[in-house]
Amino acid sequence: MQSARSLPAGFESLEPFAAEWVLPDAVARMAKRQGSAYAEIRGFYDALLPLGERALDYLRGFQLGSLPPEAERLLKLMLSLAEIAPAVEWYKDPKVYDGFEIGRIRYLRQIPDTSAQR
Amino acid sequence: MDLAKVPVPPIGLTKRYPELGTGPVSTAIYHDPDTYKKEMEAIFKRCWYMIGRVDLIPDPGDFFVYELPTFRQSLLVCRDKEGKVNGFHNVCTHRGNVVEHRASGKCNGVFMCRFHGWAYDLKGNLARLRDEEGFFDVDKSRLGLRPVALEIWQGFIFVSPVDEPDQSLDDYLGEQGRDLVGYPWDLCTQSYHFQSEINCNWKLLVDSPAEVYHIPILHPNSAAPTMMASGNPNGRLLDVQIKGPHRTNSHYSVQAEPNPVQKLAYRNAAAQNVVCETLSYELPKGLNATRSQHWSVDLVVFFPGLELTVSAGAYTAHQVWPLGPNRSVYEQRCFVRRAQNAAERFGQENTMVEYRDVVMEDLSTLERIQRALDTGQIKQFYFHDHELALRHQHKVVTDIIAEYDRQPAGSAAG
Repeated sequence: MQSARSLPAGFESLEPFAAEWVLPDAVARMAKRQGSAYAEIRGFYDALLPLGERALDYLRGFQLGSLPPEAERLLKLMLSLAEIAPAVEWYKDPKVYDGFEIGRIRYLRQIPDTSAQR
Repeated sequence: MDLAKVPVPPIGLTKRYPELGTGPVSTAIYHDPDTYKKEMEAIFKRCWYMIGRVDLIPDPGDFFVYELPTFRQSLLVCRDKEGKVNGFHNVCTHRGNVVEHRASGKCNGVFMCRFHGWAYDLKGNLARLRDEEGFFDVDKSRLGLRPVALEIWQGFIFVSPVDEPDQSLDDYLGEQGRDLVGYPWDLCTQSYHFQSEINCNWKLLVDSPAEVYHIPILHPNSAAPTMMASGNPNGRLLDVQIKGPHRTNSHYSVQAEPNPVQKLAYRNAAAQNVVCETLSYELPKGLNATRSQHWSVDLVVFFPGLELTVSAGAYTAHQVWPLGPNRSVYEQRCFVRRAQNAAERFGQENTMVEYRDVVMEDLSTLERIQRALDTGQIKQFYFHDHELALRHQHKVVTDIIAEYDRQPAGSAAG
């Protein structure tokens, strides 16, 4: 149910990735990485990386806790980029080197994605 | 930086500590059930444990609940109206249910047990005893929550699993703790926290980050490029400082060319997990003890199971909790600075993901080692000069067990 304007202007090319990679929190991002084929991860990485610097320039103008919806979605795409970066840049595989199952780790606390921090 | 001129750290750490010897060591303490029982009595019950930072509960009424894995005690930590941090056993004094069932939150002034409704204030006093008339000669003033021994060091909340610890937190942290005062611990108010149960002895988990001899082989694409850039192909340490039962490794590093996403995180989103060339504060003497310009992080080990990976701008706490001779919980808290804007939230995520993934690269190996220990397929470990921290741990544990064995049976049990 995304509108055409779900991401800020200038980031329209990322719209096809929003449904899959805008996720509620770090645990969901971790699961998404592990549940995705490497080619899919690589496709997302290749689409987002060239816009990464521009995305951060845009996000620098916003405070956590008061993000408009389109900025929030762009931030969440960038957080997914952080999650999948080792899969591409270190492992060429969703799993870590030597294959420890990420399902064996359990988060007790996460930094909220978009809340104000103090 | 002219990489050709960067010196490779030399061999020669172990000879500074002749009492540790240089020979192979017996692996028995890594799997023997009898040794494990003695470790519980002589080491773990005497120790203090870090369970979070005061930043988790900044305001009066804020609380969190934490279960000590080794001891299976549920603890309730809260900030009272005077701003003091209090810790209690999270157990209702009526019939033993937990008083607070949520993991964290804000309390409106009383914690109410959801079994029969007994309620306690932020100082642990029994504030309400429902249908008090039906009880027999109860003294409400004696039915408050049982306090837990709690002390705070540099914003870290430590607890003891026994009511009357025989050493204070300051005594436990010792010289190594004093040498860390002055680092801006309180700037890193944001944290990720996870646990994982690993099928290995607690000492293998402590050993894992305590030697970097394995980095070029087990972390070829993640940690190795940074640590090995510049002609340190064997990933040697800058220094090891031994302070009583504790120890600190100084890590050598020269920043290699970062990967593309790292570049975004470091340069455009203030991520702090990199070599830092300018500091806004003076490092305390316990960090980068040799004052090397090639310093990246220190691994500060508080015996037995707390390890802090400290860089100039962020830190990660590793806590190892034994569950049995060949089972443990590994716990990681990654602490980062507050994001000044939405872009910096990306830098925080990069730091967390990198620390998590690098540590996960170690864990399968530890379970394979444990299998070889349990089956008796390896009887001795041979430690490299720069695996000194492991040799030191072996000596500390062996000496404590020997001392425990010398005590008369009655006092040892006490």
